[in-house]
Amino acid sequence: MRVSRSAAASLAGCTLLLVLVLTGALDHLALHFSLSKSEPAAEAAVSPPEELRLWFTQAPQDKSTSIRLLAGDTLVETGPAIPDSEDDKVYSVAVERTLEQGAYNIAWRAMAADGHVVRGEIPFTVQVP
Amino acid sequence: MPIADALVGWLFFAGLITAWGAASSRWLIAPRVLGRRRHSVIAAARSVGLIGSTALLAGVGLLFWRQLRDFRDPLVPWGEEASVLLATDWGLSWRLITVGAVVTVAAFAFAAADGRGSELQRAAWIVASVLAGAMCAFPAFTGHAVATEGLRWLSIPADFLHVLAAGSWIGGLFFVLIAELRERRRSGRGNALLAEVLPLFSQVALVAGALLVGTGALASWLHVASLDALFSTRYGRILLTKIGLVLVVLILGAVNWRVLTPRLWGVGGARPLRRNAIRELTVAHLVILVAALLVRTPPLEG
Repeated sequence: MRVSRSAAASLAGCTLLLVLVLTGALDHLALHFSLSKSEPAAEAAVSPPEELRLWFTQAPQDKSTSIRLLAGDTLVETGPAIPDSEDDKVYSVAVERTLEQGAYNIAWRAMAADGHVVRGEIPFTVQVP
Repeated sequence: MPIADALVGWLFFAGLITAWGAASSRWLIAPRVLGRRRHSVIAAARSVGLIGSTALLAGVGLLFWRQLRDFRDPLVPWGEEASVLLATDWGLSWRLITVGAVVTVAAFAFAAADGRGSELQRAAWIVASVLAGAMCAFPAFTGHAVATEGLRWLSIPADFLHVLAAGSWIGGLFFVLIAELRERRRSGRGNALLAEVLPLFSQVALVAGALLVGTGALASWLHVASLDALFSTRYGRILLTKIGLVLVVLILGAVNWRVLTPRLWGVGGARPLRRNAIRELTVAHLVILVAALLVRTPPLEG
């Protein structure tokens, strides 16, 4: 039967592909959406920043990124999260006042192209000379 | 919550592939059934389409709730975050599939129950079928396929084909069981219908099975970085579970096709085949449940 033969040929092709996959004969790069770095960096001691900047491994979905600055439980006023004009994997917010010395936390959230929502916190300290 | 989350995914995928299975069976199987039985088979496809599209609509609603719960910033009111979510690419795809699901339910409800009816009722079949097929692209545009940077041209069509093939097979099997049930209620025996419909379904299932395995193997290559990742990552282990269950479905399908179909007129009639087909459908839905877990799992997370 013609259908059986074509199905068998397809299955054979798929099996070959599966074998290649399992033996690692095909090499490729699979990336997972996450934060790659930030300014200020986690646990860093810095002078009062004018903006907070996050680098992701892939571009987040448009409008899904939220970056909030917290001093303890208090929300510090910032501007909206804006993508970098040259690199859509980079987002930043402007800090709208000069921060006082103390401990702060950046709470961020973004949604990957595949719909996975990723969030995290970046603690840092502001030191005023 | 992971079990509830997986059940939401199962309801969505099960509804989607059942709706498409009804549509593909309507056009690939029903026209080749002879005589009056053809009308009964089309009516079965319509019932299956209604069940599938209604489940899909419920699944789509729950999917939004699940995504909003994951997405929400606790400092922002729910309504405000819902608006933000709807403005993302995910939200745009969700709005499209919601409209599609509503129209599909209405089209299946309005479609001619026996393939005759008015022009409009026949057109409703086309609308329902085109929409059910188009909605099978939703997982590709909101899942791992769209996140495959550099190879989207391959991953998105492959994922779309994977869902279409799953629908033609698993949804088609559900259609065969419903058609047989209707025939048995009407005439007391389902043998004659099965003897006519099963060879037609087997042809569709063979092609769909080959496509499923092929596109599944491709997705494995795209999302599993190495052999070691199959065992060391959560994604890899769930994928192995899925492959194991798929093998069970393939074996049950082969038994139906090669062993039980030729025995339709023997002792026990259609019952052994019916029972095995129900087993095949049950394990296939377990595959869908595992697939729902898989799409929620980032490929490289340990």
